[in-house]
Amino acid sequence: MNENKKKGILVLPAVILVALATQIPLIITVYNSMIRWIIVRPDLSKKFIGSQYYKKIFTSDEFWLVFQNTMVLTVISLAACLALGTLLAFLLHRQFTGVGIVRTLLISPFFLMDSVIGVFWRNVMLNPSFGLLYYFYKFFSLTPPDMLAEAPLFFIIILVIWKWTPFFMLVLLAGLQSIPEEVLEAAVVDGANAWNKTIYVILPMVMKYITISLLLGLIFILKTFGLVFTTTRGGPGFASTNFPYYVYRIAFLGWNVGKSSAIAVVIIIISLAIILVLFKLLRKTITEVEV
Amino acid sequence: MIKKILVLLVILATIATASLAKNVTLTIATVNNPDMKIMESLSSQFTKETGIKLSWVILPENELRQKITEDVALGAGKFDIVTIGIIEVKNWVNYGWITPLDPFFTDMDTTAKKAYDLDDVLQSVREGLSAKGQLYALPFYGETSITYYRKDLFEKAGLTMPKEPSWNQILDFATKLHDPDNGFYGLCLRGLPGWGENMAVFGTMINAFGGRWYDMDWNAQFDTPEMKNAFEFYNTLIKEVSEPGATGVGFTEGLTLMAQGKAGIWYDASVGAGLLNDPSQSKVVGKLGYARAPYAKKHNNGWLWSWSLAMESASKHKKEAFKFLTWVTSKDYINLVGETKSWVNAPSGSRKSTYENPKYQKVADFAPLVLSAMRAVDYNHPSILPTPYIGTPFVVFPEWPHLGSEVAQQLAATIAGKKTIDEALKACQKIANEVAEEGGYKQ
Amino acid sequence: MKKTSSAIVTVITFIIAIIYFFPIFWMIISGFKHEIDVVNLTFPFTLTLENFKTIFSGKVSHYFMNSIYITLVSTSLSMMLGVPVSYALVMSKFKRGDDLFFWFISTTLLPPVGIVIPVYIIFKCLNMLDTYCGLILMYTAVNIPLVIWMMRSFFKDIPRELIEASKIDGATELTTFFRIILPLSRHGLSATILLVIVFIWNEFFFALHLTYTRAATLPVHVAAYMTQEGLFWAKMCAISTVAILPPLLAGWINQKQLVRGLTMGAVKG
Repeated sequence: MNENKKKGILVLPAVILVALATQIPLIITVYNSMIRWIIVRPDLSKKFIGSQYYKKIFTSDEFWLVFQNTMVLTVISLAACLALGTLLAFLLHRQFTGVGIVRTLLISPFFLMDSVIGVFWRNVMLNPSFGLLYYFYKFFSLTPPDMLAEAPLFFIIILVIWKWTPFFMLVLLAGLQSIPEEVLEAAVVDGANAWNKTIYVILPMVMKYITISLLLGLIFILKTFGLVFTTTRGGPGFASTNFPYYVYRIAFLGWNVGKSSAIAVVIIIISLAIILVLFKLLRKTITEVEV
Repeated sequence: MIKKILVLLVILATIATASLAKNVTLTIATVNNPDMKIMESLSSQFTKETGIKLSWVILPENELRQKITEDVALGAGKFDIVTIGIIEVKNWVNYGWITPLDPFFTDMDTTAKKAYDLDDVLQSVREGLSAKGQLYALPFYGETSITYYRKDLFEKAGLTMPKEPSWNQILDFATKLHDPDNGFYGLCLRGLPGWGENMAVFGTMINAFGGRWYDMDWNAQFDTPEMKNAFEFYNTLIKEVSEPGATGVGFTEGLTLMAQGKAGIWYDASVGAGLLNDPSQSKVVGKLGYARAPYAKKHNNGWLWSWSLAMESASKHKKEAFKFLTWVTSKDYINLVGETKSWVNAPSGSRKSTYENPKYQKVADFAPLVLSAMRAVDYNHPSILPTPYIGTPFVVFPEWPHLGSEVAQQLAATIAGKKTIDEALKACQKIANEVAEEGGYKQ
Repeated sequence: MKKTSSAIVTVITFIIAIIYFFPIFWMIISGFKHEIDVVNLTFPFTLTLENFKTIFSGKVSHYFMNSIYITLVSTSLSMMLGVPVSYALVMSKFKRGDDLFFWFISTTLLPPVGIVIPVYIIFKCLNMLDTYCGLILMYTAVNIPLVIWMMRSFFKDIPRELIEASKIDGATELTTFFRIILPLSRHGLSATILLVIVFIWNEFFFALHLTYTRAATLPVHVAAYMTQEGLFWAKMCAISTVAILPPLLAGWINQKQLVRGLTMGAVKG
């Protein structure tokens, strides 16, 4: 079988399916972003208005606040997940009885539905009147903080970290376990102490895993929606609205297809830019990194 | 001979259509509250009686609204029966998304019509569910907003709650009962941002304080002193005498607080009464008193809300759908709930006869108050000032979910200390004006 | 000395794991309490099975089976369509391989909330609303890029020498794939399968908008237990416990595989 035919058979089915299911809606969304179409006002005819929504978006205060929120949420979550995940990976890399149980306990949050995490934490855990938080603080005779109002973005960040750290932990653990023992032993024989061992021996070998977890984590955390929806509703005001929730607000409360499509397009472009930059950056600065 | 054949044909045809009818499945979209859950569980009775099967889509309120709106507006038309509120009825009639029910009532035979007794349905609710002179939905239950208070604690503190308190009185009472160090709050009030959550309560406050959303030329009115008063008073109530974490408190959370005995006064939906008097869920059974919604400059501020069932115009089984609509909103159904579940859970706020039923009166000491409150609502005149819109407490136009949610967020920002009241008012003013312009209301 | 410090670290690890898992433990326990006890922290409380009874007297099995069916089929399809692409990207000379790879990744950046309305309309026109087929297609398409990404990394890890050796031995490409490559990357395969299963099982947004009654999945049903006008915390915890069991089970079974690590010591050893 000639080479091209083979490549075609291997690759085409996936390409076709993914293209149909994602690119067609994308093209429609781009088109929608340039028309005025409000679903609950069929009496207002669909009108082509070009880039009006784009202008509105970039000149609105809310967009920049949402942009900031999304960046803060993503960067802090990724950093914390990476740090915490690394720590946990090291702890699990040892041999001890019950390591399997510990691992199961630690990865469980990743399997929960976002909406369940949100509703549960907001009410049963952190509600300042009848949640666990309340009883915890009452034990010390203090009044609990109202996290939802005072630090809504932080609230969501905590949930994101709780959910995603197990993922980072698993990937980094796999990375640690892929380092052959001889390499580590050789480093010890060479007289390298623990710190040097980490930096010069372990780090380059797990770099690939760090990159994978960071990039995957980035893509998914950028799309965080369920957690926002079930906890803060993006509020108060726009304080905890991130990109996807902003689209939701305009699309399903405002029923404004045009504006929400425009926001979606902007988001996609920004996400693409971020990923592109990261790809290039990682390739340039760290040798031998394959993503 | 021919006559016999004709008769035979008619009989065969009847059997055929009857069996066809037996294969009809109605798809119903409804909200996930206890009354609807009871409806789902009792509907097997309906299937037994008529052979019509039912397929349910049950979702929380927000998701339900989105799904139904999507279905009617984007034309999929997969629901036969949808559970909507007064606001959707008024808005959707213009687009022909739901079917008027009057023709079906005309087609009903006299015994069925008498048994259904449309006049028994509360007039304010019937009017709410009508538009252009026709009835478009039948109410499953209706509610208004009332003031719940702890009779026992009021007595102990020597306080008396009038039948219709003023907001100042509420503040006063709540201050006297407020004891946050012991986990007890004078007042419990919704703060959860949402057009149907904090805005339901706050919307009545805007009306009570003599404000309105738009003047007759569709200019936004957030720069008026009445609106500012409403914002300020709401802030005072929340910050000084209410539960912490108000921005997370919607109806369910408020109900939880009140049922746990953690609040002295609760201003919210009348449907909470049944739940608060259910010993398996509430610690304050028998300790509650009831009063009307508070007034300030305007009286009669209770809201009007009814979860009602309507038929999508796209439905292919309208006759069967109508059968279910009338079955589940009939006196017989209410009796069924009362007898099989409990009378305190019987759907209320829809029919006069429920309130006249001695079995209901026995368990629902709040019934007379709720009935008078529902009767007093004037849906068409929400404010003491003239308005280009109707609706208590919402602004009935299709843009309401958008306007309501955005203002709700601004309000929540004020109680969370993220914005000053003036900043929030300015933002609301901008949003409301934009909505009026983009929607083509303001010329 | 080393033994005690090692023991201490082990204890600390256990403590961290218990604290981390605590909210889930609390959720599971709350499913067995009466509604009134969930928010009141009464101690001791009576355990009850009433919440589970309520759940199972409903239609949960319908949604549960739907989720199982849709998850299994979508995951299998994603793997069957995605793995060949990874293979091609790694093993064959691909002029614009990197671009193709990047294109696949770019499709994962689409937020579901942004494209759901066009998808809804397309599905409506094609009569695919509320069908298993429709949801499976969406889930497969959305997860293929993930499969490609992960398997590409794992395939890259396979030492070339092994593949060359197999070729020299006269094996066909297909045989090499099944005899050498697949077994060596089985840990990667398990990890990828687990990840895809978890994502599809918990997916809510598309399920909500693209299904009605027939094809609705478990997350949609779980939503029905939230924000009722009544106390529902215990019931929600109960059904969440039911909903988390399959992914948890899959994860527990799978992580035994993951333990072995991705050592490619076959040549070196």
